[in-house]
Amino acid sequence: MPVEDDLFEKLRLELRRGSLVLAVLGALKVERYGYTLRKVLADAGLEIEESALYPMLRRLETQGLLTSEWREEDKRNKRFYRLSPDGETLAAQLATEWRAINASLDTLL
Amino acid sequence: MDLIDRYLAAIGALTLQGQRQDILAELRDALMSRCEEKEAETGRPLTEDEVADVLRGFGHPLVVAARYGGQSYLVGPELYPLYLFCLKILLAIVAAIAVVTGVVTAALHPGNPGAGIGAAIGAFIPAALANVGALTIIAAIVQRQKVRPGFLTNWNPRELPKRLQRPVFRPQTRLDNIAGIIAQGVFVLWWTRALAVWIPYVSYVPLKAGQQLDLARAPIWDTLFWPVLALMLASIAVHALKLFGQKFRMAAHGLDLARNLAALVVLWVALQAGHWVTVSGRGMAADALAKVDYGVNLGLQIGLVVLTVVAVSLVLYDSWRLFRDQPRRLAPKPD
Repeated sequence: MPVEDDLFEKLRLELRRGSLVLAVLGALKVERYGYTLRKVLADAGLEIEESALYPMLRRLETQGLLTSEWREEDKRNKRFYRLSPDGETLAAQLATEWRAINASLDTLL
Repeated sequence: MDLIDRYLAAIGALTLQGQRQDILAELRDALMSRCEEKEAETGRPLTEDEVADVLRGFGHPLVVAARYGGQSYLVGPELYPLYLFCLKILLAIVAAIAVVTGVVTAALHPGNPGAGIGAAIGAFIPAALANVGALTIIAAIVQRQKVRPGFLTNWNPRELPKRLQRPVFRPQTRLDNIAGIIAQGVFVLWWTRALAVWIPYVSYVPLKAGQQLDLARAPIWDTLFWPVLALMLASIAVHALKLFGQKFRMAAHGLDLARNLAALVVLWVALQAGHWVTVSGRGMAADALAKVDYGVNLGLQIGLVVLTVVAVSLVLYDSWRLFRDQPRRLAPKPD
């Protein structure tokens, strides 16, 4: 019996949801503001809703993993984010974990 | 850009004051950037409908604001199984109380068939809502504590029961069924007057020399003679089927359910009579006889109500047991 499309979509979203934080941390090794960050993620194949992205950025900043700064660019104030030193350490640890999970899964799939 | 202002105002009304300006400024920039991107694609300013589309794509203000609010659930996944378990137990207790209330009300108002249903619903809905609400509030409070209930984390597998047993109903043994057949056989013999085991004896009535008290079945039992006899024979048949073990298990459960349903009808008719034993005597004052008559019939009325509650419980239990025991359909084999 073929897997139903909505079930596939639900599981796919669950799978991606856990990886989005790592993707955001990875993309913020370079300073970006929300809109460009979303575009970078989308270009990499990781679409994320803006209504989810901005609260996530705020949460990660509260957790001390990001720093932010308001600056004017293109005649508008924008909030730029980048990894904090703690964020860099954690991103590296998570990246190692991610690769280990990937390698383990590769042996099973 | 009136729509964007209104959209941001709606989100602002739902976010905490300390963060509001910061959040709204960032969202405004994101929305403006999105609109500019669209304008670059079309080469013209966006219409109001197109701006509305951009806002719809961003998300409802309630959803967006809620995502800034942190924890967005009342009971989290860690606590939810315990919450659900308690909820089921509470609702089962409330339902049982409502059923008893309904049956007792119905029995006490035989002329008004809707009274029992109304009383059951009236007892169930407010109690269920109050219990679900109270439990949810307690769970939400516990959810927001840093410390979780200790028994969820510090449980010991050695303290689990050695064998899962149904705590309420002890499985019937062969002896139970044989005893049931004998007891109901004696009742049938008495009921058909083949055996004179009726002793007209009321211990709490002090009888003096020359006084005699007789209790006789009221006319309602003549009306119900055959139905009661059929019920007793069906009970004997159920016990007999159970003696054969698993082979006739479904038949025994089905007959049990039918017998209990029929018993409900018989009890209903009996309760409507209002008088089940006729008291007569010699050498006693009329008011003394009337008191005895009243007391005995009141006792019987209470007994019949209790029997009705038991019969309703058995019907519910038998229905569930039949549903539980029905053969499950096997999954089709893959081609």
